[in-house]
Amino acid sequence: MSTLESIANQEYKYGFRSDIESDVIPKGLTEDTVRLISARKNEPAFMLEFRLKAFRHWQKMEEPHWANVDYPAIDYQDIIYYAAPKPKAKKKSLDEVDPELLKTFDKLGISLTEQKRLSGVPIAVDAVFDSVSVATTFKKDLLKHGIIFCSFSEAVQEYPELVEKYLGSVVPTTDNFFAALNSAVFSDGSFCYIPPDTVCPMDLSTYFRINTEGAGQFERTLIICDRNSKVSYLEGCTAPMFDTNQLHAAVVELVALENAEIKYSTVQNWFAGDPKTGKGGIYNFVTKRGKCLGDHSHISWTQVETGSAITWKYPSCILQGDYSKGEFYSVALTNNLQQADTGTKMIHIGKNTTSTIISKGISAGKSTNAYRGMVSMKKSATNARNFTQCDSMLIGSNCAANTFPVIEVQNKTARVEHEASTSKISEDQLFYFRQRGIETEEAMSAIINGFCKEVFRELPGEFAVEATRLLGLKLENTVG
Amino acid sequence: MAIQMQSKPTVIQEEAFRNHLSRLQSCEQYPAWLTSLKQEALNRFEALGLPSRRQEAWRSIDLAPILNAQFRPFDEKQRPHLSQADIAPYVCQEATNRLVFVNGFYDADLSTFTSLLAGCVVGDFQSASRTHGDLLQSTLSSLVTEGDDAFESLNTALFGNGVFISIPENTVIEAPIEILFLTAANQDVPQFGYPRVLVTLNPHAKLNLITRSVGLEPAKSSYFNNMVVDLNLLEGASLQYTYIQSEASNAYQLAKTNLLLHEKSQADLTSITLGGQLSRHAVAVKFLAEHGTCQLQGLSVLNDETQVFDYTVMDHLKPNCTSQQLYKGILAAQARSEFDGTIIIHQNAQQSDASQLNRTLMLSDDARVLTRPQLKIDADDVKCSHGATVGQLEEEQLFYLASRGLSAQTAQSVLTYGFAEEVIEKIPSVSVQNQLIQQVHKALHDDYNG
Repeated sequence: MSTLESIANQEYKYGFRSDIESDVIPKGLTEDTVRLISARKNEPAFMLEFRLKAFRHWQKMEEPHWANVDYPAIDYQDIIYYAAPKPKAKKKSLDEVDPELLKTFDKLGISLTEQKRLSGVPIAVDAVFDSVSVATTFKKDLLKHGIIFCSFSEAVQEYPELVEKYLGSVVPTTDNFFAALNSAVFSDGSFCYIPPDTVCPMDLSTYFRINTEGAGQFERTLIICDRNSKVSYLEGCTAPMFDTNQLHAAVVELVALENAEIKYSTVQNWFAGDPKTGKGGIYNFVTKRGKCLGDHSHISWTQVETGSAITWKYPSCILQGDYSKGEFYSVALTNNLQQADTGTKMIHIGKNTTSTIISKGISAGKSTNAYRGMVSMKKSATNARNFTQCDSMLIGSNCAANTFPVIEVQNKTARVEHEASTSKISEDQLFYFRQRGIETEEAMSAIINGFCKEVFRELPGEFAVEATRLLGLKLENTVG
Repeated sequence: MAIQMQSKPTVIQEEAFRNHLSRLQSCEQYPAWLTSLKQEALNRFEALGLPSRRQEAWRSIDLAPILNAQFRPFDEKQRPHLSQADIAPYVCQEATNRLVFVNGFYDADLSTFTSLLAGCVVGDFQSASRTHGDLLQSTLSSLVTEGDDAFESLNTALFGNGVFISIPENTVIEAPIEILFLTAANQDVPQFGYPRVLVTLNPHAKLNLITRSVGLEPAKSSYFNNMVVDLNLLEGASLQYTYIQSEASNAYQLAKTNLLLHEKSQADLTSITLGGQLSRHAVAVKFLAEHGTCQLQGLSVLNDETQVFDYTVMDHLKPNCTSQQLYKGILAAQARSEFDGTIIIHQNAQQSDASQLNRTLMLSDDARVLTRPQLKIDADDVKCSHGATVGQLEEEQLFYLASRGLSAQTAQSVLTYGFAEEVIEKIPSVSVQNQLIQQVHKALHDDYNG
């Protein structure tokens, strides 16, 4: 077997399962489940109320089916809504974290021992394992700057006033079916608060790992960036290989106050299911939204979506403050039987707001890839601007690429430009490379990296390297 | 009759609408084959149900005014008698053959026929059924079972008269054939019409066709036109088709144009919308064989509270076909426009080349525009692109003209017209171009002064 073939046939490398004792509540969802989760986490009354309100609303909602994705009906009673690694004893420091857990994260390339990573730049990590956050690094260093970075459960206990003020302020409990479900049962996630006039000294990161079979992951991330502050946030995800599909219905809320800047980057590599049969894999149904509340605030989403059986998400920006700015940079790659329906919404409310959307969709195998987006210029959005570019690339003739943008304008001074194109890697291009001694696979990788460079440019250093590598890996054996 | 309700709030209206329809249907007399064809269409309409707002293609359209108004069919006895002078502003001067309908009734006196080549069938359904009954029957029958547009089925079920054109093989008709649908709403009750046009171009035939629906002002009441145009281009045929809608300001129009393209056929379609209170023009293009080409352009110039919905589907079923679309909108006052254009490339339709551009010029803060350009691509070796822009006139361009002594109003008018010109100049008739330019200027001039 040639080296190439062996790399191509490489299995999903994060597909291992760690043998860690879990505290699991029975499958099923009733009001009691919600109460049980809240009680387990020893939550204040306002949280239980928030959950119950969401749950009661969710019961009245119908699961949406408008997306260009196809999956068997989900039985919401057949999901474990809370799974947590069993605590040995209350941990005082990282040294006391279950060594098996540390090993797991080491294997994933995420260091929970506060050592410097590859690039030599420290990154603070909040590691979420199944339903709970197991460790957060560099917490003390960050606190010196007044930055709060901790697990969501900790934030509920320690900073209830901040949580109460901002939780659900961007994605209300009633927003959509999956957000309502998340609001009712979310177990943990990351919380981050950057105080005024602070530039966060290091990148913050959350690492999500689903380990328990049959468990849904419903985490919640809330990031608040106060006046004149700045933060860069990274998110990574993996899951073991199971035959059953797992639901991941997270909610991410970002709030940027006056002159604040939040940069949120995701490299998503959940297990995509069996390449041939499509069995297993993650349903990644996530609601991500940022609100530019203050004037001159800035929210930027960058995502590289390579995993999941189905990706269905639209990281969005509500541009409420005058002169606020929203950005969305996305690479969505689907191979084999994967499906992706992703894009963004830019809601322009404030004056002189601007937004940029760059979306690159790559479909290979028998996959389908859709860009769905909305740019809405409200009546108050005087002089608002938007530029959208969404390009698709098709590799092979069994895949599909769709583009469904909506543009709505209610202000004559607003200006919207949208363009989309579709292309393929042509034989000519590959021939040109081969002629110069560069092999097909390498040539393809170069062409695709060129296709995606506008997005990769936006990723923080280490993530960009990972994304490039991931893409190459995912596409091997698709041409030639 | 089984009635399928789709959305609860309009149940009562729908029921009334349907009762109304069955009454209408029963009072018309047709030959047996047509009666059964119309019954089939009505069944189809029943099966499809009225479009609900849950359907993407009808989502933003409020049909309530159409469903609520108790439209009655136009009465032949009350048809106004118009002279050639009355219709002069709306005729294409280059046209040597013209069919004129007033309130849906064919007016032989106003119509003109000259120099028709041998074998050409150009006439209203009544005369065509006398001379070419079998051809008309086979053409109509082949169309009715298809389609998922409820209003199209409704047209088939209810149309009275219409136009049948069939151009024989290798025949080239140089001068335009014009079809004029005039509506004079001279009664106090709301009325409706169901114009229908059937066109077949046999292999290598060539035709230049213009249809124009015109509402004569002042209209005493609102009216509703549900128009369907079927264009079937056989191998190597070539068609230039101009659709012009300048209905009265209280009119409703739902129009559908179906274009079937066979091997190496070419079509150049222009859709102009200037009037009506609410109008929708859906253009469905199907490439049924290889090497077809289609150019589709649209222009809507809207003022007051006009609402216009342009809906296009460019369906590339076969390889090596080319399509281009350019839709432009100019919105003033409280006008509202929506463009929903889909390009579909099927898996075997390799080497397709499809492009689409939608540009909207906003002249007012109270105007609203929604645009949905969509691509659905299942083949990899294709060239596809779409673009959309929304904005107002460029400050710099206005300044440039102002610095050369043009008044603000003239400068705006010049630039706006320049924006519209790109579409108008595609129309293969100078007289029609000039009439439209005047209409555009008039429509927008009112706005600048107001």
